[in-house]
Amino acid sequence: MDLAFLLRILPPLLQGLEITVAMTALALVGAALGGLIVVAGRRSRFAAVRAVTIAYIDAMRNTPIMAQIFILYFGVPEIGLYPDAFACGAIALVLQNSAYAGEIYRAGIESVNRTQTEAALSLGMLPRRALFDIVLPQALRRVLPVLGSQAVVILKDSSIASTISVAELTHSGKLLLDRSAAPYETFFMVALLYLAMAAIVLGAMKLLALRFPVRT
Amino acid sequence: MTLTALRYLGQGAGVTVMLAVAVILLSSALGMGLALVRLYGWPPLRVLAAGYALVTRGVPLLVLLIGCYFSLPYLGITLPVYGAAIVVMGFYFAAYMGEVFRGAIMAVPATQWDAGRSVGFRAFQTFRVVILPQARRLCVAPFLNTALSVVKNTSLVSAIGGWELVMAGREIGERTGDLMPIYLGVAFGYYLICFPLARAATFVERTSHA
Amino acid sequence: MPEPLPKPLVVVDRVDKSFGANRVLKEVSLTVGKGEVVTLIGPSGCGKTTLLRCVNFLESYDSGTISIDGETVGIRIGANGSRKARPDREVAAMRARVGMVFQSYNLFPHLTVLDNLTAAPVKVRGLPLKQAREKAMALLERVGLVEKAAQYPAALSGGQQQRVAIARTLAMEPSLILLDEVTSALDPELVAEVLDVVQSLAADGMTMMIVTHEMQFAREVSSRVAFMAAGEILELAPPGDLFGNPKNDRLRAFLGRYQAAHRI
Repeated sequence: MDLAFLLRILPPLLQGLEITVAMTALALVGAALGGLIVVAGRRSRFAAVRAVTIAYIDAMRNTPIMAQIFILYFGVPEIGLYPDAFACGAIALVLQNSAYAGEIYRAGIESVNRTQTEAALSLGMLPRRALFDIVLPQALRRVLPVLGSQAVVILKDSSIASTISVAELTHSGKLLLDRSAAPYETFFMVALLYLAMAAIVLGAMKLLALRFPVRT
Repeated sequence: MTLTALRYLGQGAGVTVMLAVAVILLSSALGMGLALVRLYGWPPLRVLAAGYALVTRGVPLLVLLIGCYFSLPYLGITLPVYGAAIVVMGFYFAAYMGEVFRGAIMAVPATQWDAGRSVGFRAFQTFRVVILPQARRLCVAPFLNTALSVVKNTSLVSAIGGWELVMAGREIGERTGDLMPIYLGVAFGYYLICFPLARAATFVERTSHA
Repeated sequence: MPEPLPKPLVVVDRVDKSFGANRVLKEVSLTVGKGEVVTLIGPSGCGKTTLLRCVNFLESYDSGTISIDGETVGIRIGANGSRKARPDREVAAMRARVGMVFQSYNLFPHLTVLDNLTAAPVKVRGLPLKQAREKAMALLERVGLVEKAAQYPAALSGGQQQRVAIARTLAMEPSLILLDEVTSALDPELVAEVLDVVQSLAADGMTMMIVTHEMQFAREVSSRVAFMAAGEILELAPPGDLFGNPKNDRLRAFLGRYQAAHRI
């Protein structure tokens, strides 16, 4: 294990890491918000809205991210739009993980006892108010750990964008490999960087969980 | 989309299924061992096992695949693509399967141990006769979900040059240039393979919430 | 010369309710006057809790009417007798004037005791926070829990949580309070502190409808007691008459079983 070598490959890898962080952050925000739309659709009063949402969740659950990225990057140009590779990666991540986030939100909401809603309603709150002020705060606290795991999944899935040549961390690693003929060291470094990022994400979630604990 | 194209994709899907099955079998076997070590093993081994789980949870599978596959020639080993992929994915998902099994065993109420011991079972007997059957029921849903993930992740084999459904799609696409329907077809192929797994998982989840 | 009847606040008129094929309320009628405390007793499954939950429309009812202060609850009766559901807004407004205390307290676990009391007045009535807090502290004083204001519900005992729940309904200044088995989930030694608070509410003239298993308490606090069985009110009388001289056979059997069970 040549330490000098490891330090030499760090700068190009860090450039890739920047792109990974950017794509992951974008996807995290997008999926967190998209999940709200999904859970709203899933719990809608209108059967048609529910059906469409369930079909969407099904489609996202049963197809791999790579297929979605390819459809966006290779397929969409056929209808005249030319999204760039980064956009394709980010959009695919958001689409996939909004479905998962929505289901996580739904599990959280359903785990809050119905009696909480009744108590809020009997104080005169409107159903929407009861949902946002009483149920949702409790639901989100309960699902923080699961959301944390999903965030790490998003981080790891960002590596798949390397297959369409997005210059993120994995892609940078591949380029270095071709050039340096030291795959073991290169990918050891890449793995270490991913672990560091994952640790930061999970640490942030732990901090959130401390700030917003579940109190029963 | 021509019939030959469809048949070609179908063959790709077949390879996907075979890869998935191999990985599921390997990772389940390793995962069971991992679970037992983490639950009942000698403490230093437990720490190692926990570290192993940590690494696989934090590093993308693609990185592990590329890293391992392209490192092998330098160590003098030449493994076929499928073999390398199955081994790497098997060890990767062993961590997940380990969590599934460990979680299921831990979810069996502790009082069941008391119940088993109180009728005279020894520790290993209690585990085999009382705990394991109950854990088996509890692990079905997360097992199916992990299997689903395995199927979807076989798509990464194309990234190290292995031939399966995605690669089949790429080849047809490069030949005919008709990319959107091809990749939609690829996605649909995965949908067909995954759909029964997903439905089964939802069914089990719903019926076990009595 | 009999006292003039209190002005009716709650009028239940031939209310019918079924859950699927199960008819739980069979044309039940009942009036509760202003300042009265009416207690519903009866075996499990007789419909007393369902009736209570219909009064603040946590359950809908199939036929008949319930009105509070002249306004029908949950539905509007058209000129030709048609029944139309009221919009959420109106139902919520009605519920703001009726308080409910639940068997499982249902305090909001993610809010402090004080915030539990101010949440509804601020969000529903638009009261300024400072004012809401002052009122809340006064109410906590009344139920004897001022020192718990900054704590979370999980830190309180069952009896304390229930007293906070009562204070929470009082914060909305209701004209009617519904109490659904408020002591059934409590350890025996905590029951008294809750019943004392309810007694003081009755003494202050609060109109209440109570569902309870505590016969002694029903006897002490009620203006009238209704015995229900299988979805019907079989006897309705002041506690002295109902407990002292029960006329209905099923009531007699019910009271007999109760006394036998409590003869320890």
